[in-house]
Order: sequence, then C-alpha cells, then structure tokens
Amino acid sequence: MIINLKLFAAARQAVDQELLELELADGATITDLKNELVKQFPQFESMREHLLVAVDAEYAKEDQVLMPDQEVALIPPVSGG
Amino acid sequence: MIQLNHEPIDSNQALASVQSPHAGAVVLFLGTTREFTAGRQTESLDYESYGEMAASKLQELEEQARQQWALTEVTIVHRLGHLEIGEASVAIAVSAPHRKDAFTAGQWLIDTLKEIVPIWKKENWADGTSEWVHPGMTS
Repeated sequence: MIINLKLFAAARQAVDQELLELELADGATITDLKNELVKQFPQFESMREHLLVAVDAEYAKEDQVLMPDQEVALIPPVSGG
Repeated sequence: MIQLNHEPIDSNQALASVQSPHAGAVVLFLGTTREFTAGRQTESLDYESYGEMAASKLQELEEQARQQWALTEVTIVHRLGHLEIGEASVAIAVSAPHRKDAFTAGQWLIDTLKEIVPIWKKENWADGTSEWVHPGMTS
C-alpha cells in the first residue's frame, strides 16, 4: 500500500517536502513505516527516536497497523504555546 | 471556544468570551514571544500547526478541563504564522464560579497544550540563522 506521510517543521525541512510517498507492505505498523522512512531518507535517523506518528489525527502506538487511505503524519516534538 | 488563526490575538476579546454571570473568577494567560532565550537574541518567530489535529486536540483539552474542574467558559486561541517579538502567541481564558478552579485549569491547559498539541515554532535568531524548536531533540 501507498502511504502519503505528512511532514512538519524540522521533519519537513529535512527533505524540503510536505508530503512523502512511501510504499509499505500490507499490515505494516508504525515501526515499519519509520524503518522505511529512515532507509530511504537517512537524514531522519538522528531524529527517529523523537518522532511520533499520528494516524487520522490521533497519536498512534508503534505496533498500530496502518490501513490504506488513512491520514498519516510525522510529529516531531511539539513546541507550541 | 477554540481558535487557530493568523491574526493578532485580541486579549480583550478572549477575556470577554469567557465572562458570565455564573463566574466569580476569570483567569487570562498570554504566552508572548520572548526576545532573549539563554542569552541568545530572537528576531522573530514563525508558528505552524497540523491544523486539523491541533484543533481536535485543543477541543479535547477543553473537554478534559471541564471534566476535571468546575468551569464556566474556556477559550483557547493559538496564533500561527509570523510573529514579532512581544506579540501574544497563545491566549487561554478560563472562567469559573471560584478562582481556584480557574487558576488550576488555566495552568493545566497551557502545560498540556505545550506537551501534546501539534504546533511548532521556529526561532529566527538575530544572527540571521533560524531553527525549528523540538524539545529534547538536538539535531
């Protein structure tokens, strides 16, 4: 399946793109998504442990299984306020 | 009431939005852009959000605060886009029958907002460099 990953702040800056298209196997989890991201874009390696992933605008756990057509976003540590 | 917008925050409007004959206390918190951070000078800041999720998380914060404390009204306004020094980036106004609930809920709202709501700021330093702020992340 294809996941269109939304990027923000330093994560967006790292690839100079707002959206990354990643191809993942069916049944892939958040951990698999991060593995694929770092494999294709090694610049995410150093920030990996700090990155959360949101699925349909909710924080997701590492073992959550992704489904096609979900909205998936990479959430680096937040700094609002 | 939840607002995410690019216009300057009107603190009087935020206050007015929570006033009520049922309230005996109104607390207003304003987060303002700081010029000096650990001795380093900031020229301006830029805020961005994951808009849809930020709005839903702010809504959840309001609901959770209302469950935990006896509140009359809650308003959270977060500014986005480019801000100059000294401007308000966030306003939290809380009214309650009694002051303790208003103070405690206001503090919890800003603390929790800073932990979980997907909004980010970029410091544009006076030396011409700029960087996204990601607490705990060094690169």
